[in-house]
Amino acid sequence: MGLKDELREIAFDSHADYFGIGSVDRWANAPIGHRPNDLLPSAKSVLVLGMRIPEGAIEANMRAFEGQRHGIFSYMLFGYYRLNEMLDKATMKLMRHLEIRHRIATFPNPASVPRDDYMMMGVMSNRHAAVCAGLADFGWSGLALTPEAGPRVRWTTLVIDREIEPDPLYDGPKLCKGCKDCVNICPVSALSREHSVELTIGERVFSYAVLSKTRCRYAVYGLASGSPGRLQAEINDNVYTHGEWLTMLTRDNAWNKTERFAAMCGRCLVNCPVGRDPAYHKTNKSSVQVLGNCNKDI
Amino acid sequence: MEVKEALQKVVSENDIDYLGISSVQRFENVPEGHKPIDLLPSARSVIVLGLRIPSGAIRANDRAFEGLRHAIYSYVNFGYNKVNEHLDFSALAVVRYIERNYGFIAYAIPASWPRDEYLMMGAMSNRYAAVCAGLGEFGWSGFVLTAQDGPRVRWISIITEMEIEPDPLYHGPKLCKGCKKCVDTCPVGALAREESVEVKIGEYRSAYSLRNKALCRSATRGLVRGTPGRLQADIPYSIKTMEEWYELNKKDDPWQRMEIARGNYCYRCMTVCPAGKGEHCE
Repeated sequence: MGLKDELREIAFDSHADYFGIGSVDRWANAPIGHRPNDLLPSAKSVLVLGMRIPEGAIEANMRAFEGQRHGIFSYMLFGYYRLNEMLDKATMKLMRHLEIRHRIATFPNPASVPRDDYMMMGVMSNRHAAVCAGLADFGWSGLALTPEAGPRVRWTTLVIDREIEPDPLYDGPKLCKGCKDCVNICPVSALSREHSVELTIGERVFSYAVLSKTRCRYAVYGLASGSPGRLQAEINDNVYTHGEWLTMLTRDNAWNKTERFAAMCGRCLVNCPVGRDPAYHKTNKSSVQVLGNCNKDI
Repeated sequence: MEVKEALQKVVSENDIDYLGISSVQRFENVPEGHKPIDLLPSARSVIVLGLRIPSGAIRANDRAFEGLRHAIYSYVNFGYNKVNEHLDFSALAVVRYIERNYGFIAYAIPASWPRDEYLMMGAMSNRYAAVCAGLGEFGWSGFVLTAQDGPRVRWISIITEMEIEPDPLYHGPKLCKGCKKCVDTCPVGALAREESVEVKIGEYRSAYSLRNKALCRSATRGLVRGTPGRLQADIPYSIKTMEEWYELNKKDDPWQRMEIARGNYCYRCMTVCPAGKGEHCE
């Protein structure tokens, strides 16, 4: 069995739903410091894993924004936190396998936290990595869209010092139809309707909306009114600049943080019509039985 | 393979000790917004999983309240956080199993965190769900007592669209003998000795002690003197109302919070309960 098959087997055994490989040249236009070779100079390939967000967790988010605030807790845990933990466990397993069994150098990236909360950036962008590994197309929301689950997938990235055959970039029909439901639904108007970011990955040009990271993060933290966020938080709806955001966070008290656990928004992801086939659950059953132990250790 | 048999296989693979099924109808008397159908309108069944708290962790809680304060960390980790984490992952396994194999939506409730800290309520009561799924009965403490482990079990529930045959409600011998050791041992006097909450699940009738949630939560957060809680915390002897609880939390500083990421510092009512045949009680 080749290395790629070996890694794929470990990934699926670790409950990943998506597995893809990108070659490092696809990150040529990524920001300096966030390219695979900045992190591991000898890097040649990047492995990307994805886990589909359960529909039950998406329903929970809907309930929360319909007014059943406590729905957000199921979304935070089963639509975000625990999935990212499972992806991190899978990364740990793959990294150990590559290092111990094959003596191949790696550089791991967290699925979500911890990250640079000052710059509002991760080590590497897992969303961009998903596109670079051929698993997704960009939507206007800037989220990575898959044909089957739309943007409702969590991702993680492992940089590897070994040539592994890259998967082709997504070349199907454009998944995002430009409906801009993501723009309309955003409770803090963080996504631009007109202005876009253009980027080239391999031969392909992608574009997505300019995002006000400050506005976005502010809803994700449950600090915006209109989100099912923290009930007793002192909310200031006029947070637009990075400075205003930092001032607000500095004043954030212990009580405000008590419920803060994971993303409290995710509206653009929940409402995207791509991959949202209402009949999916009734028709598109996998033939493989998932009799998995989700508690398996590394 | 029959659905129940398949679920049993999934949970066994995740080392789960208890599995029970309830219909959504059994939840008709729970508060508005916290019924399974409020959370998932198409819901038909609720699947409940339980994981026994290891006796070693219960022993650690006993040592902490005997005066060895640092023993509480073994309890917080192995009697609470890791047990709940295990339940969360097991629920995720069940959710994925149901969505993939049967094409039904499955909506999991967190085993513990996160929850509404202001109202001190989860999205749905996992304890109530455990009783509905026939896994035990309510003790005076308000915990679910099981024949084997008394109240020393943690629970998680999964609401699903799938119709699964419900298990019968618990109908064995009464497990709570009304000794009220739970009332006597509570370091903050949160449990009423006389006043009770009535429970009606179908034909089943039960009652448990009326609990002052604010008081209880102040002990579980290690914010009350007499618990093995946070040594350097600036804490009052007791708090009685939600407003006091909220104000206390607002004043809580990062140092005070260093030791309590998640978890709880009390649960004496659960630890001392004589119900159950676990080795802890022998």
